[in-house]
Amino acid sequence: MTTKHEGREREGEHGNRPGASNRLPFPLSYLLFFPLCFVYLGLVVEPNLLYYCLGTILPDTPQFVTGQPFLHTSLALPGGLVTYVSGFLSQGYYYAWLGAAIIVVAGFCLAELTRRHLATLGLARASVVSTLPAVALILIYGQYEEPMPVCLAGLLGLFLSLAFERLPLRRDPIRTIAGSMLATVGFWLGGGATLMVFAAMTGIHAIAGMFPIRGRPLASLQGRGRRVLWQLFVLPVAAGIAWALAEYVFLIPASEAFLIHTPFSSPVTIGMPGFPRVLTFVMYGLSPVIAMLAVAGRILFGRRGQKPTAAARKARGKDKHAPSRRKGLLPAMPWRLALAVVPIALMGAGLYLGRNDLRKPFVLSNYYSRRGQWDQILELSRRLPQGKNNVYVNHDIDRALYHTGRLPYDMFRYPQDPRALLLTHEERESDLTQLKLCDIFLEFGHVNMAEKLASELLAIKNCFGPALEKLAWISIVKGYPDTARVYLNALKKNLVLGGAAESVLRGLDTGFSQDQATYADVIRSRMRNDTTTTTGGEPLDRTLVALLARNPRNKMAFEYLMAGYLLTGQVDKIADNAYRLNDLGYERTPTLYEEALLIYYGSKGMSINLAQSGISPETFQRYQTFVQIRNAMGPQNQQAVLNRLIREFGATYFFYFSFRRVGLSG
Amino acid sequence: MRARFAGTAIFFSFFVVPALGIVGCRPGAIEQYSEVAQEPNLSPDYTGTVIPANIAPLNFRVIGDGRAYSVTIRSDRGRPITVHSKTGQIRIPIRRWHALLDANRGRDVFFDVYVQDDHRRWRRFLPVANAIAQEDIDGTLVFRFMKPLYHWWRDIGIYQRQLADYDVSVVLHGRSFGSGCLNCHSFVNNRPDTMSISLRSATYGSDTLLAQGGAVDRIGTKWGYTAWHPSGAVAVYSINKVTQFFHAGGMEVRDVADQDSALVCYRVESRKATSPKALAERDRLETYPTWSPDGKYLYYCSGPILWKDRDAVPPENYDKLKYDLLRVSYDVATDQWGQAETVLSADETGRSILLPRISPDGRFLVFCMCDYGCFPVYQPSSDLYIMDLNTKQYHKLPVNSEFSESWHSWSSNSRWLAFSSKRDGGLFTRTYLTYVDSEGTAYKPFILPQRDPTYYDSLLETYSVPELVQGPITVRQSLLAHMARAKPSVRPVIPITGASPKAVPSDPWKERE
Repeated sequence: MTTKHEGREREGEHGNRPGASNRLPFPLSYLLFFPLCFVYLGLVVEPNLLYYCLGTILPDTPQFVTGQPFLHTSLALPGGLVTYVSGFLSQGYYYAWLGAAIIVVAGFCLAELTRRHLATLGLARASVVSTLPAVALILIYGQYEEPMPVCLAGLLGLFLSLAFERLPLRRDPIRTIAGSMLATVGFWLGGGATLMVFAAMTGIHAIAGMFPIRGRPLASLQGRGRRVLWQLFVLPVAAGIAWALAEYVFLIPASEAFLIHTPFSSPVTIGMPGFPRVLTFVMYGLSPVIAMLAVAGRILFGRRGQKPTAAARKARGKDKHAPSRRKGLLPAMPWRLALAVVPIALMGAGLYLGRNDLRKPFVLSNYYSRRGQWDQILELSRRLPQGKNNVYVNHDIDRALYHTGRLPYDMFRYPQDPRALLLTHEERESDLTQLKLCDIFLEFGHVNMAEKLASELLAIKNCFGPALEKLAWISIVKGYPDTARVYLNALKKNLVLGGAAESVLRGLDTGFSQDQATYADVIRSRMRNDTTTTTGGEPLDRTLVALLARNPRNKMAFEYLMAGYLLTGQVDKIADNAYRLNDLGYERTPTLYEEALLIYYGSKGMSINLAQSGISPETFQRYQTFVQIRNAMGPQNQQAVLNRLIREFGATYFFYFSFRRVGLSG
Repeated sequence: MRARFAGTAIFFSFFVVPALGIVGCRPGAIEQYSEVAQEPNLSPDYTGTVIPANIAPLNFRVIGDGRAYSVTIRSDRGRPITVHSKTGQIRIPIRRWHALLDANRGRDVFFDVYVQDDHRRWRRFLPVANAIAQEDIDGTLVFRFMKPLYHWWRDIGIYQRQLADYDVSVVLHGRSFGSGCLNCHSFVNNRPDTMSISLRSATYGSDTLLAQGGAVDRIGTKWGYTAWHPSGAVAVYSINKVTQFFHAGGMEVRDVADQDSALVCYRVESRKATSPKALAERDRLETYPTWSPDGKYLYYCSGPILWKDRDAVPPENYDKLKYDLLRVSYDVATDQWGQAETVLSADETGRSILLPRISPDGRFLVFCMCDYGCFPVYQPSSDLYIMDLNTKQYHKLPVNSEFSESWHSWSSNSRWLAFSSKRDGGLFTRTYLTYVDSEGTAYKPFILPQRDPTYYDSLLETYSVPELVQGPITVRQSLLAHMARAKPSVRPVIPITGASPKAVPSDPWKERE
C-alpha cells in the first residue's frame, strides 16, 4: 500500500531531493517536442483536412451534436463519454490550428500520465520514453486517421489507475472496493479500452509493490503479499461488474463491450492500412508495456536501485546525507538536450517509414471537392505522384473539369479511370462513395437517388451533418418544406454546420438568397418527375439519357454521358448523341468530341465533310498526323514512336482510344 | 465583521435578489389584457381534439413572437393550472394535469393562452377546447423506433412508452444482437404478457422471439405480420418474399412488393406450424392476418400474382396489384379451417385493401386503402377506413391527411385508435391517437405528447407500428437480449402442401457490419 506522501517522494525527476534546483513542471524534452508537433500538425498535416474525412474516408468516427438527448444517448452505453468527447473534440479539426492544439494536448496528457506512472514505479528519469505513445499518436494523425477515441480511452485508464495508486486509503478491503468502483466507472465512461489499461496498470503497480524501490522502506514480506493480493483482486471484481453491466444494464454482449474503443475492435481499425494500425496498437499499449518493462528491470536489476549503505558512502569519503552523484562522462545539460531530441528523431523515422505520397493528395482532393474549390483540384492534380492512381481523386478531377468548363476539352490531360467517373468501382458502395455520388446525382437532377444515398448515410451515422444538409435541400427542391425543417433543425445542433442550417431556415421563412434560390431552381429544372419509372439497377448512361429526356439542356448530364462514352471507347454513341450539342449552347464542337467523331468516321470508312460535321480543319490535320505516326510504329521503333505520340498527342482522345490510357509524360 | 458583511452581500446578490426578481417578474393572475379574436397557433396542434384522462400532459409551444407567455388550463371542476414561460414552451405539471382531467371526464378542458408583447401588454386568444373522454386509453404504447430506412440500418429498437407520463424504455434493441433488426411485434388481446418479435441478424440468424408468462422461447423461423388468436393458443403469421425498389421521380422514393407471400398457422402448445390451403394459394399473395375478437374468423388480405417472373425487381405490373379483404372461419378446438369468403373486394373499391384490424368489441374493422400494392406506409395515397361489421358499410375516416396513414392499433376498450401518419411533412412517421365513439365516429387525432414541445421539430426517427397494450411489458429486457443471441429452442417444420410453400422468405434490408 502506498500513501500520498510516499508517492510524492517517489515522483519524477523533480522530487524534493536536497539541493535540487528549481524545476520545470514537466521535462525539458516536452518543451522541444510538443511545440514542434504543433507546428508540424498545423502546417503539414492540416487537421482541417481530417475534418472532411470524418464519416466518409474515416467511416466509423464519432459524431457530435449539441443537446441533452444526444448526451443522454451517448452515456447509455459503455464508452459513451469517450465517444461523446471524441466527437466534440473532432469538431475542432475544422480549424487547423485548433485541431493541432487539441491533438498536441492529447499527446501531452498521454506522455505526462505515462511519465507519472513510471515515476511512481521508480523510473524517475523517464521523460523520453514516456513520449513514445505521443509520438505514435502524432504519427497516426499524419496518416490522416482518427485515433482520438482510443487515445482518450487509454488516457482515462491511465488517469484512473494513477488516481487509484494515489488514494490515501490504508485498509486493503476499502482500497479494493474503491479500485473496483473506479474500474467500473472507467468501463462505463471509456469502455473496455479504459478497463484494460486500468487493469494492466493496476496489476503492474501491484506486482511492483512486492519489490524494493529507492528511498522507500519495505514492509514485511507477508504484508506486501497480502496487499498485492487485495490489489490484484480488483481485477476480477471489476471485470465481473463490467460483465454484469454489459449483459444486464447496457444489454449488449459483454464480449463486444470489453472491446469498445480498443484497437482490437473492428470499427476502430476498419480500413486502416498496416502502418497506422500498428501505431494504434503502439499508442494504446505502449504505456503499460513500458511500465511492465520498468518493473521487470527493477526486479532483475533491483540492487542497482538500492540506496548505498552508510558504510559504503563513508568508504567513498562522502557525507552520508549527501546524495550520491552519478559520475558521467558528459555534462548533464547537453546530455539531457540530446535525450530531448530522441522523440523528435523517432518521429522523423516514423514519418519516413510511413510515408504515403498518395494519402495527402487524396485527402486534399476530398477537402477541395467538398468545398467546391475546383481550380485547386486541378492544381493539385499536377502534383500527383506519377504512375499512381486513386479512383476518388480521378472522380474529383473530372468534376473539377466539368465545373471549370474543360471536361470535353482537357479530360485526357489528367489521369482517367472509367470507373472513377461515377464511382462504379465497388460492389458495395462505401460511405465515401455514397456521399460523393449523392453530391453529383443532386447536381445532375437525379434527386431521388441522391435522397436514397443521403438517407443511407443518415441511417448508419445517426446525425451526419453533410447528409442532413443534402436531405434538407432535396426536400426543398421537391417542395416539402416541413420535412426540410426537420432536417435543418437537426442540423442546427451541429457545431460547424449549424450556421448554414440557420441560414437555410431563414430562407424557408422569409425567402432564399439569390444563390440559394438559383441552386434550388437549377436542380428542380433537371429533376426527374416520372413516378412510374424505377431506378437504381440500370446502367448509368441510361440514367443520364433519362435526365436529358427530362431536360435537354442538362449540360452536366450530357458532358458526363459523353465522358463515359469516351472512356469506354464507344465512339458510335458519341456520334449518336452529337445532335444534342445544338440544345446546349456550345459555340463549336468540343475538341475531344471532334476527335471521337473522326475516329468513328474513320472506323466506318466514311468520308468526312468538315463543314457539315462541325469538325475543325486543325483537328482533322492533327488526326491525319497522328494516324501517320501511329501507323509507322513497328517492333523496332515502338518505344520511340510511343514517346513521340505521348509528347505530341498524349492529351488527345486519339491517344487514349489507341492505347486505352492517358499519355501523361514522366 | 467585514468578511461576514461581504458574505451576506454575496448571498443576497447571487441568491435572494435573483429569486425575488424571478418571483417578481412572474405575473400573477393576468387581469389586464386585450382579446384576440382567434385561437392561438400551437405546436403540436392540440386544439379541438378528444383526449383520454390518463394521457400525459399535452405540452406545446405557442407560435408567435412575444416577450412572455402564460397559459391557464382549466375545466369545470378542480383548480386551474397556470404555466408561465419566456420562450413560449408550455410544460404542464403531470400530477395536477391528471387530477384536473380525472375530475372532468366527459367535459372540456380549456387552454387560455396569453402572450405579452414588447410593450408589456398582454393579449388573450380565444380559449382552446379539448374534450375529455370518459374512457381511458391503454397505458402503454409499444413501437419500433428507427430512421427512414432504405437498404442499410444500424440502430433499430422496439420501445415502450407509458402514456400517462413520458417514460420510455427499451424492450429490445438491435445492438443487443449485433446491430440486428427487429419488427412485427405483436400481442394477444392488448395484453403485455404474451408478445412475439421477429429478428433479423447476420450474426445470430433470423428467428422469432415468443415471450409468454415471463419466459422467452426462440422459434427457429422468422414470422412476418403476425396475428394472435384471442385464446393465445394460435398465431397466424405471414411469410413474405419482399423486394424493395426505388422510384426515379415523385415524393416517395421507396416502394415495396411481395414477389410472393403466404400465411402460416402456428400452434403454441404443440409447437407445430401448418399452412392451410386457403391461406397459401399458389397464384395468390396472402398477408396481413387479423382475428375476429371471438376467434371464429381470420381476416386477411389476398391479391393475385400478376407476374410470371417471381424474381424480377420490380415485378411486372406491380403498380396494378390490388389486394382484396377476405376472411376464413376457424375452430380453435378442432383446428379446422373453413372456406375463404370475400369481405370487400378491390374490384368494388378500386383500391388495394390492407392492414385490417378489428376492434376488441367486434363492432368495427379499420383498414387501409391505397392506390396499389402491399406497403401502405410508402404510399401517400394510403388512408384509413372503417367498416361497421354489423352492416358491412364502410367509409373513410376523417383522420386522414394528404400523406400516408397506416399501421393502426385498437385499444382494449375499442375507444382509441393509435395509427401512423406522415402528415407532418410527408416523410417521418409519427404516432397519432384518435377517439372512436361507440357509433364509429372518429374525432380529430392528436400527436403522441412529449415532454419537450419541440421534440418532433428535429426528430429524425420514425415511430413505426404503434401497438396499444394495457400495461408495461412484463418480460425482462435482459432475457430478451440474451435470447436474441441464443440458438432456437423451437424449430417448427412447415409441412409442404400442394399449394405451399411458394414463398422463400427474404428481405432486401441489410445491417451494416
